[in-house]
Amino acid sequence: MNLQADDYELIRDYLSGDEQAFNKLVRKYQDKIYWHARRMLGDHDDAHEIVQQVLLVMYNKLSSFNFNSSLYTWIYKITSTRSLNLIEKKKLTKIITFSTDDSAKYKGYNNIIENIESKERFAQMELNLQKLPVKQREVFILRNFDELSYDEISKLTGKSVGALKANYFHAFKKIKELMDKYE
Amino acid sequence: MNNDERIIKYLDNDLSPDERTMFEEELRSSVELRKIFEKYLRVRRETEHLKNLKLDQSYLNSSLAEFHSRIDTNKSFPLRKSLAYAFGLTMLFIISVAIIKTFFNAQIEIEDFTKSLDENQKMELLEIINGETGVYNLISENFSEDDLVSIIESDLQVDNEIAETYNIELDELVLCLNAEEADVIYQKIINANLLEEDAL
Repeated sequence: MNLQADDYELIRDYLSGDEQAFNKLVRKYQDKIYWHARRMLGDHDDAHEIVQQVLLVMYNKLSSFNFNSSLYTWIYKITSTRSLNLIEKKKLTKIITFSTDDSAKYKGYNNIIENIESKERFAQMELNLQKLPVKQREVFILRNFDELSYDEISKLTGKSVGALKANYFHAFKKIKELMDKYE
Repeated sequence: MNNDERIIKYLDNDLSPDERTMFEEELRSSVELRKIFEKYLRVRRETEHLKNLKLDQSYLNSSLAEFHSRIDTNKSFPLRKSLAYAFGLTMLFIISVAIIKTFFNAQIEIEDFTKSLDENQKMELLEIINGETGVYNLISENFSEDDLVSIIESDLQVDNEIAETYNIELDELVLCLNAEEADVIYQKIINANLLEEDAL
């Protein structure tokens, strides 16, 4: 059984009243949602909140899910939108408070990562990602970490493939420079 | 196409077969190109490693438990949403009164006023003033799109060649700006507006 058919069956079971089927879907996608939000936002608490929001949307809106598309694309769309909204909200808060504090304290929380060696490497990458403009960060994450194709990202973001490639180019180059700098 | 573009396109399988063959030949003969290529490969290896990070199982369990707890709470208190709306409306009224008082009282500085608000009040205020896309309303009639393009090109050193190659629109460029770059533009717009007011 392929992944998509597996998802569809779980959704149908859930919609028929089987709550355990929903839990199985959550267990399957929970970490993907968390990591996407965490990489976008650079903060554990924010990523945790996004996970809760996305699960709530899934819980309430799976009944309107279009079986012609894949569940993971649908979930990424919700996760991505919620993450961007939170970034925007924080920007607005900064403007209205006239905040000039850009010290950008590192709010990384790594105890949820099992592999100890990976914690430091993750922390450095997380800091580097936060130095990218949001749109570049988004395409870099979706391409490299979430392994979506340009066509999938284009459907998800509404941007042209050309624009996505240009953003990806700048993001990749900047991450390379940052890794050189902090080597 | 410069070396960075060729390498990224190569790693992305975005070169034509001929370009790919030429690139691989050059990679074998050019030490300089291999050096840059190795740096990009390092990024790729790092992302490959970090892509497979596993979250602690106890965290995943607690997160799912928290979600069910939230659902149960919502089911137990169906009036909560209505109360939230009522609270929101009350806040809206209080803030509206505060705004009116503030604008008619020259003694109160806007900065002092905003500092006196808590986070929720600030968000409410902002949404009232600007709507959902308020940040972009900062660009005023005193500041033309040409001025904006001029700043983006001169101060922020946007790579026009790349932008043209991929047919990037101005609004997409603006959305690509990071916080520091956006601040540069924001300050220039504010200064332009103030200068305009001084001239009057």
